[in-house]
Amino acid sequence: MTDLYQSQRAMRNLRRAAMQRGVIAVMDVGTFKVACLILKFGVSEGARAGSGVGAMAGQAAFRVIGAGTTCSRGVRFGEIAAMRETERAVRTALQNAQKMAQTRVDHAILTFSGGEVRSYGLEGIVELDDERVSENDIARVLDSCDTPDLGPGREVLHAQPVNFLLDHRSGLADPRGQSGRRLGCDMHLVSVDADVVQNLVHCLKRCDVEVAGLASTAYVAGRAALVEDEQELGAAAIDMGAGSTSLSIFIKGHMIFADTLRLGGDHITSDIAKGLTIPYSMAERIKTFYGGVHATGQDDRQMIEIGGDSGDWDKDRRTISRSELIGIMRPRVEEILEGVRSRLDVAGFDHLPSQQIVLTGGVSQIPGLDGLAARILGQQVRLGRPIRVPGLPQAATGPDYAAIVGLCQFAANPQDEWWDFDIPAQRFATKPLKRALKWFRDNW
Amino acid sequence: MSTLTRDPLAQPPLRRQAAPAAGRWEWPDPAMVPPPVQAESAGRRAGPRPVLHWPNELAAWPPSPEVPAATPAAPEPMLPPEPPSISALERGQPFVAPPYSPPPLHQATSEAPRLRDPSPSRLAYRMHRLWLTPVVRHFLRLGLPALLVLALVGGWLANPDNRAAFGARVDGVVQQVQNQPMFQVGSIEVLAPTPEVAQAVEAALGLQFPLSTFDLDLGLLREVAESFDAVEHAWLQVRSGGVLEVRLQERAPALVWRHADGLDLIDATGYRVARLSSRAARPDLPLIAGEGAPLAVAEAQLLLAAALPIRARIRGLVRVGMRRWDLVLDRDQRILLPEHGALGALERVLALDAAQQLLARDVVAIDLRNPTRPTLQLTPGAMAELNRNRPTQPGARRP
Repeated sequence: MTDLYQSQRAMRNLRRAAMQRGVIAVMDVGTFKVACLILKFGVSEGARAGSGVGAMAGQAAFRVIGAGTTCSRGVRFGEIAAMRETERAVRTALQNAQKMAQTRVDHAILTFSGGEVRSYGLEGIVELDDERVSENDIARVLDSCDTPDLGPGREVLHAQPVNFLLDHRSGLADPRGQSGRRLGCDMHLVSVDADVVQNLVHCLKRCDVEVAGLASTAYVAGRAALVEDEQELGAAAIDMGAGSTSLSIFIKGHMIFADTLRLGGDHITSDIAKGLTIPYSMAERIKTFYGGVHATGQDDRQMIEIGGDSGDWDKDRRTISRSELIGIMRPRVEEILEGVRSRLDVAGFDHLPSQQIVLTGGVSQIPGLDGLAARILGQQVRLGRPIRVPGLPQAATGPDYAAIVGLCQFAANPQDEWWDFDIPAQRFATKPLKRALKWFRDNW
Repeated sequence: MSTLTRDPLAQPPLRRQAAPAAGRWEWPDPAMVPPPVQAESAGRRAGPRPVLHWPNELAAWPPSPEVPAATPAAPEPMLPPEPPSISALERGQPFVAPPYSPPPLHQATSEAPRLRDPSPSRLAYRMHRLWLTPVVRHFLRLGLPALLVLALVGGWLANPDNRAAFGARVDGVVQQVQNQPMFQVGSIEVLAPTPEVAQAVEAALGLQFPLSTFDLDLGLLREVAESFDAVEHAWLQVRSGGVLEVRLQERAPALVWRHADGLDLIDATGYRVARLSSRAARPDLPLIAGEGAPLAVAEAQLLLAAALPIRARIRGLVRVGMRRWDLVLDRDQRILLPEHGALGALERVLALDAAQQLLARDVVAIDLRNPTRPTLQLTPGAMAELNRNRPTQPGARRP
């Protein structure tokens, strides 16, 4: 645990150094696309009046100066399946973004959806030394949370304190300076497969870029797609990506649950490709152009050419109706949404006061998805787009860029995590003098 | 495979002619109105698939090697490859697919370019990053070209022959420019009140004409011209027509100074103007004498101006001990003036002279060096006469 603590602290220091230098890259290594944005800090003078950019989350502090997106290669389920291929895709995206920004970047913050995100709620409680809560007490109480058995080869990705208790009072956001005797905290811990992370870090290292931070897609997509009141009152953000569908539940401004479903838009595409025996690219094309989930009478008459290049006329001249396409897509979309429903049920989403569900990600652009989702997930469903950040290209403002826009926010305004607090003094023998002094103070 | 072959001599597609009847207007226009819809005719017709006809482009295909050249089939009735319109479908005409040319798969292996990998190679990526590094970028864009140029020039100049040739070439160009007619000076014109001064200055400048204006250092020439005592200022100018004009302002002689070596003319500031051969050459100028006299020229001029009533009698002013003036008159009379307040003392003497004709009497010297004790020195004859007239006995003279 401590080496992870150290590595996360090292990443945090890298991030801080990069921000001081002013330029940092954020990357989304997804199954369908690899996107890279280059942020410049300290240049934006804030949002213009009337531009629609709110004062949310301090995104005025940075500006996007470079963007590069490329088709992802060698990634399945948000995890690297072919390292060299992924490296090429990452390189392409990075180079395009650097070319647009006319700067080189050496640090990147990364988001990914793979690695079987698992979410744990932890709690810890300590007696206070002094009568007021100090920074050290917070570190102690965070440290006192007993870590569950994460399983072999798993590491902590996020460990965010979401709630503090002081004596009988709960729901404190910042207990520092308040007086009391017992301090407790609730911590939300997200674990991922360490090998997946290692692969990604290695892939970026091969592109001469150091990883200065990691975030789960579920978390950052939620930060981008949920508006502030939804984050406060409770909502679930569902980022429907190509390889996996990530969901996160927010309440009181904090993420309290994250999970990933290893189903996504790629499965819809492969269903179409297999069902119609057409190439994968053609399946992707007709999915994006003609896809839908509700068939109407008009769709029976709309014929879609699903050409081929086999040289066989009969095969190459096939057409299908749009309702056939919808008939292929809909069961898979329903399966995804039902998977999401079951995960939400497991998380106890029913017990939240507000049950807003926000769909985002590339799959959420299927026409009519909100209607279908309302049947399966509940009535309060809306399609979410990421918030606007300054300098973002128009092409990157769609819901498929929710994760990377959230990552921009994450870079500008990181949530306090466990490793942002110092290691408690008594944990290591590196500070024996302090301990001796404490012993003297306690006993004399 | 017979469907792949077609008659190259096929007729161009027949088009439905909407024959406009000239001069006859019919409304509604029958060409614009679709025929009535028949029952069960919407959509695609059931039944056997229509015969397909490949477009003309395929006729040029090289036949596959394994396919023997097919014998031309019997010419079929060709239908026009016209895209099906809704009205055509509704009229029950057979559906004809739009022209479609499949990609030439047979040529893909040999001629068609392969799909290029859009990702940069590792080397290209690193080079691009290097290029985006500010230090490298500035060096490559500014430093390296400058270094290259410097190295080339330096390498060329390292050879002494090249250096000499370059210098000679530069000199040649400079000469060529300087020897242009508009820069040539052919003569000198010295304008001075006195022709002697003009001649002396011209000789001192010592210019050999013709020469170029670039070779003239007017500042230096001016210093040469002004080195003459008689010249107060000199203006030099190259006039149009290649004439070097030297305009001289001479010093105005104000006094004649007699000293051990002879006579000099000096101006009002005491500066030496010229040598004077004899006093008679400038009788109009007052004479001063004595060591250090030019240093007190201003006082001398004041005294001379004050002595206007006795001007005719003045022989000159003598500086005594570089400190005070003596006014020397004819008949060897001398007025000894004090060091300070000389003008006041002189005016006293002049007042005495005006009242009592002091200077017309037998006086050798009037000594005013001590203002509180003016002293007269009489001639010996006058002194004897004074002694003779002096009463021999003390006491009041009897009437």
